[in-house]
Amino acid sequence: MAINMWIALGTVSVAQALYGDVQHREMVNIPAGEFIMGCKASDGVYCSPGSDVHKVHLDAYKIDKYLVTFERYQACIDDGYCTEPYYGAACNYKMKWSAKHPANCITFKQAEMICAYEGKRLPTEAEWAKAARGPKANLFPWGNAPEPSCDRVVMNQRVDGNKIGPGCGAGTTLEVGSKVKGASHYGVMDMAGNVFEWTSDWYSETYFNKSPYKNPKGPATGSAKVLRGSAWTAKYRDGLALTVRWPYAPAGQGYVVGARCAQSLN
Amino acid sequence: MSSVRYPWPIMLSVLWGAHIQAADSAVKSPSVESFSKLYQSVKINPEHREMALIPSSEFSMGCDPYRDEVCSYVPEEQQHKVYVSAFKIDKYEVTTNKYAECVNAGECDIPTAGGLMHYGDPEAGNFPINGVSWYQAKKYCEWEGKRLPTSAEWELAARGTDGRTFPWGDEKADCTRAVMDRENAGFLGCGTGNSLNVGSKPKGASPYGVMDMAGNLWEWTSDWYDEHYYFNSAYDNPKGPSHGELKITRGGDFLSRQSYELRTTGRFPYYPSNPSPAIGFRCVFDDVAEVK
Repeated sequence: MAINMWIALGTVSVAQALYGDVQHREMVNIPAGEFIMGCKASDGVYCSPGSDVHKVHLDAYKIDKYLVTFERYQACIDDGYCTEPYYGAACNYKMKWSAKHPANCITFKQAEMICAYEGKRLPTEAEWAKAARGPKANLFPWGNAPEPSCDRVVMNQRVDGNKIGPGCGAGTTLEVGSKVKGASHYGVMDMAGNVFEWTSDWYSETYFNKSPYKNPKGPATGSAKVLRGSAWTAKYRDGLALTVRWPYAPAGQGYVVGARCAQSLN
Repeated sequence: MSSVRYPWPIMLSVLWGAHIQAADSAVKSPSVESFSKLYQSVKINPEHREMALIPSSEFSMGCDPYRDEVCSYVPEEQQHKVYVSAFKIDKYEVTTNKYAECVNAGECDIPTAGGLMHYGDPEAGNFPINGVSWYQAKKYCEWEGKRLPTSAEWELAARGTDGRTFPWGDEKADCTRAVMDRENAGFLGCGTGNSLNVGSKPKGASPYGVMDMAGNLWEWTSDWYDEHYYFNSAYDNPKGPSHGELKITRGGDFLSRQSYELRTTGRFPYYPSNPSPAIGFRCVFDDVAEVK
């Protein structure tokens, strides 16, 4: 009952009241303007289907600097607004070390809910792409070189004598924002590696042939949503390039799937 | 239910060779050709075609509250008696090499690859195939003249009829018997960072000699998932609910951290068209007399 009352009062979080500020909710501004979206052969990476190069104009918006963490997600659960993610196996919910790791194993609906709870929404695929690639349409958040490595990305690479590659040796995700040198042009963290991210667009391999120039929002319907980004399991540049896009049915709850939220400016 | 399959052959690049490391080198798109070259003369370990006979049996399906302290957390695993007719089941999870045979034959789709989904990785030939949707798994089994097991068949093959919690008995799961992670993570695939060759944990065999029924990969079954199903399941060869959104996978995976995740009664529901690095499959055959 008390929890419902808190919601009625419009407070952000019981957890926040009880345990102090929840971290990693800050957002960065992405200015209005045109950018280039998509992938072409000369980019030197494998181009996912449906990523034809085209120009897009987006109004100004905000996007989370960090992936949604379990700490943020837990605040939403504690307020009775979000449902528990799957747990078990490589799902990190309830792991004692995972509070500042990206929430994984969440469905599309759960991703929508955590964003709504924070007064935000999921980004469109175009918004995700601009925030990740910047005005120069970088292949990686930091540019086109150097190649992805555990210096900049939570990926699958044996480093520093680690016995295993996944998660730079952790065998799972790492805390959000742990790869500072991997920030995007706009300062957004973990746009490559760590976990894939739900976007609000339905998946199509033809949509961007004929998408609106201004603020494209994806096809009206579909059977899978678009995942963007990449994960702690990826080894190669083709799998870590910011051009990667995947179809994933909204009821999916993968080990490598998380979320980041966006917000319109008005 | 929609039976959408994503055709995209070769998501997320694989080119498992090292030639994509240099920033200035030309990068070829991964292609069907690069895979068919790798698998053109694929050699299958004959053992990997073996099947085990599971005799007709009545058994108690679900969690036994007198033997497994986890039951109170999983009321949906309500114990109930079922009867399952004799069948044969693959002794091993379908390997990457075996799956490639079906691709070569033009009958199976190329699985999703990239990350820990290892189709195209020259070192993964005897790993269980992953990155396959439920539809792709079903198609492979049908190509072999088999089918996916029902959830009840799977559970019987994994634990037999004596009510044990794990394929080998009641001792907790660890890397002596199962390909898994450890409690606090960081050791997935028993410290290898990946799945392992099928049958690499012979001490983890089921009473019928079926391997990797705990750990390595989750396995697709033919049943839809419904958390209420065990409360009104058919007794005779139950086949699961008539419809649903998620299919049941069984058996835990190389990323499982807790012993209880590998219990033979555990079920993980997953969306049938979504690929996963953690899900593979094995097939069953009805005509017991014909299979050697």
